[in-house]
Amino acid sequence: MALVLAFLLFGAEEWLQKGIAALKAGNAVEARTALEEAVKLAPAEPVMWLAVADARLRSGDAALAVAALDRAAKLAPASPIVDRGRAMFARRMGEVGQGLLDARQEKRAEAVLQVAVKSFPKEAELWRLLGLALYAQGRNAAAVTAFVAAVDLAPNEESLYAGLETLLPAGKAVEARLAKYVAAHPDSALGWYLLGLERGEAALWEKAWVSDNKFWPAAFALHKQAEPARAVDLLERVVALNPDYAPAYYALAQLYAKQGQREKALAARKRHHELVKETP
Amino acid sequence: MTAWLLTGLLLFQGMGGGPRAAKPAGGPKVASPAFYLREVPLGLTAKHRYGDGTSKYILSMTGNGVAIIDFDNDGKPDLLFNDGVAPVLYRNTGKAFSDVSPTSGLTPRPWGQGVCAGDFDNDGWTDVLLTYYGASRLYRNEKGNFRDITPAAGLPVEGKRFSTGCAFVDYDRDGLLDLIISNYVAFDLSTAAQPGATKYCTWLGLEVFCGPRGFPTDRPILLHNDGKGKFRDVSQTTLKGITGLHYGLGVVTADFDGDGWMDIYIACDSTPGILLRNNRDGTLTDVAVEAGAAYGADGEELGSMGVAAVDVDGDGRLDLVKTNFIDETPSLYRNLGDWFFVDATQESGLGRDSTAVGWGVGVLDFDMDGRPDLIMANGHIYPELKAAYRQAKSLYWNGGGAFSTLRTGAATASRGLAVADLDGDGVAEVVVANMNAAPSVFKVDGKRGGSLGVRLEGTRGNRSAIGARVTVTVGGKTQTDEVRSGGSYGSQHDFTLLFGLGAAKEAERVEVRWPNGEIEVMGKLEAGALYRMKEGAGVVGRTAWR
Repeated sequence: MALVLAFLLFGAEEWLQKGIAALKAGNAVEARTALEEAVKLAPAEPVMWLAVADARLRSGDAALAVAALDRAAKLAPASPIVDRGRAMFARRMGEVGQGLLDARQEKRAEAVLQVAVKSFPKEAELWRLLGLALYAQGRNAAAVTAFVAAVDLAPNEESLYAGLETLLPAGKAVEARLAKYVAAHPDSALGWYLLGLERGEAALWEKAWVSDNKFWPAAFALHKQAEPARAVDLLERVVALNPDYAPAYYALAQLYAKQGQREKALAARKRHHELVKETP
Repeated sequence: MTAWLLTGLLLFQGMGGGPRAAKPAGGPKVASPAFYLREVPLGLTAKHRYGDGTSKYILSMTGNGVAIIDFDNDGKPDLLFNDGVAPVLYRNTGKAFSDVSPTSGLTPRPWGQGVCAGDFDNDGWTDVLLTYYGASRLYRNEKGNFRDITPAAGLPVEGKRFSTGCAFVDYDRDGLLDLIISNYVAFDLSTAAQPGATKYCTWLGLEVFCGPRGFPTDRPILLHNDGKGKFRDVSQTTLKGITGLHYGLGVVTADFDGDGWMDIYIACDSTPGILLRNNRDGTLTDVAVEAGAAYGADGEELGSMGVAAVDVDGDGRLDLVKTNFIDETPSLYRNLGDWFFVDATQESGLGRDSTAVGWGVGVLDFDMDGRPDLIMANGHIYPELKAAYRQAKSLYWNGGGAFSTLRTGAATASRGLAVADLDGDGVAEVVVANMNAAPSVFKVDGKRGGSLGVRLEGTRGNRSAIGARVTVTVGGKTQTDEVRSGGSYGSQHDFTLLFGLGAAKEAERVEVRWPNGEIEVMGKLEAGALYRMKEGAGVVGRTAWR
């Protein structure tokens, strides 16, 4: 009996190694086949379930991946390895979701990320990615809900607010969060910019005051929203503060050109080119 | 996700990065009449071959152009495709096309790229240049048979130059067509890195061919025609101000400042575009940066492939339209005169679709309302994307103030595109070269007005009349176009120009400015026919539309 068991476990180890090698090589299908064999042979090994969870996720089966993860946790509830595995798995789900978004497979991304936020409801990044997946499908209300969930989990993380940009104005709940954020972070250009969008108050954009590119976000927004006079004023202040900031020169050139100020546009175009030209 | 995030990245470096979902569309929405792109079977059955269907080398990406020329002077436009293995020539029989490649005199050669046409020896037969990775080939048309005269013309017969777009152009107004050829990257197949080898060999996590970034750049070549059958490379002394930091692709020639001297634009991938202003002294200077036609709307380097010169707003000045990579949109540089362009992509409506990798671009008037519309051939560069590799065509209907957009037609991995009235009915068809597939011919169906066609023959200048400008006035409004070689992406549109007349029965005035600057006014011309005009002799023939 002991001999048979050893044989079975040896076989599982071989499958595990084969599966991990396939995972490293990026071959999710081959990895999954090997690791499913491994877990059949050693179903009481939590590590096997962690590995198979990874393979299932990479081959696009998020729900079964989570089931494998849960199985690992059940087998070793107090194991630090399993805890670390769960944390890594949450990140991995985010990576898979982002990868699917990059490949413009928004529905598949959403499927993975819905499972992800259900399994890891306290991971703000997963909610943010879910918001992106929903936004990319034009489901704006659901996207706002997801972004708000992300923001509530990590209210001081500025980048989480960025996803809201094209969804604003989105209502009082969002406005309250943005107001709270800028109150706590008065130097946040993004915060003021978003609050300005939410309230429809361009004046708030001029409160943006960070980094060497003071005024840039506000000026750029004004440029895009066809408020040339105010945009020129702010952009001229941007380049006065940071004479090497190329994008501001090009935006200025565009605005000068549309205002018929050809000499100024010409100078701004040349300065932009001087700053950006490089050997490809 | 938005321009804020793209251009404001500096603010958020190290903060986890911005989101990377699809960029939303921008620009005005214009309601357009209904148009339908209908593919017509015309016997173009040869499946083009280009690369092995993988993205191992950048050489597998660029694909082929198409020229629409009347090589046998029977009055019907024929089709010449460059190809990865051997060029394909189709003769227009009037009802369909017949593959006459084996008897054409065109020789098989690998890695064909673009094609352009012009009667460089003024014998009345249209000659062609085919560009290659290797050495480009010049074919003289000898009464309908092509003969490779590359060595006799003094051009290199071997090499490793990655030549792409080209155009015949009489830049010095000596009555002889010269040649401009763009070059892409300095590439050596024997030493090229493998997919994934460097940071320039991945895309969104995929291991793909390397480049163009990471490869050395190359410069365009200008070849002067001495009138005795020889072409001489005069690039060093004639092309001024080119930095050498360009990956050149599509070429278009046009008189952008209306001075009667031909200028040149070269669309460049991942580097600033080149706008060569003709100095009227036998030299040309790159003024793209100062003119505002080098970069995208936010100052970014675009992945530009194809290019067209077109007067979109009827002000008599030729504007520039470019096709670009995915996550960018096509570009429109509006020509304000005196070598000053302004990026009008967003307000024109061309900035609404960033989901295509654009290549060939054609100008035609879908509804013959007198305003030029646009069609673009699309297709991704990585075959590994499978379904996403193939993309539908983009149609842009000119509503006067702005364009409306329509993505339509079967999804293909397309490259070259050229337009011509293939069947003599007064409406242009669209010919598209597809990667590793047979080419396509489309008609744009929908309600339309009347049209007239103009076919020019030079006598004192070049016989193809390349560089001649035609201005047609209808209902007090003018349309301006030019006979040109090259254009689009490595392609050649037909030399015949078509003008939409809407409901008008005639054009009030048709004016031709010949390449040497002389102006001939043809007066009123009725709609519904192709007019043949000869330099110094006015209208010499009229053929009613079928």
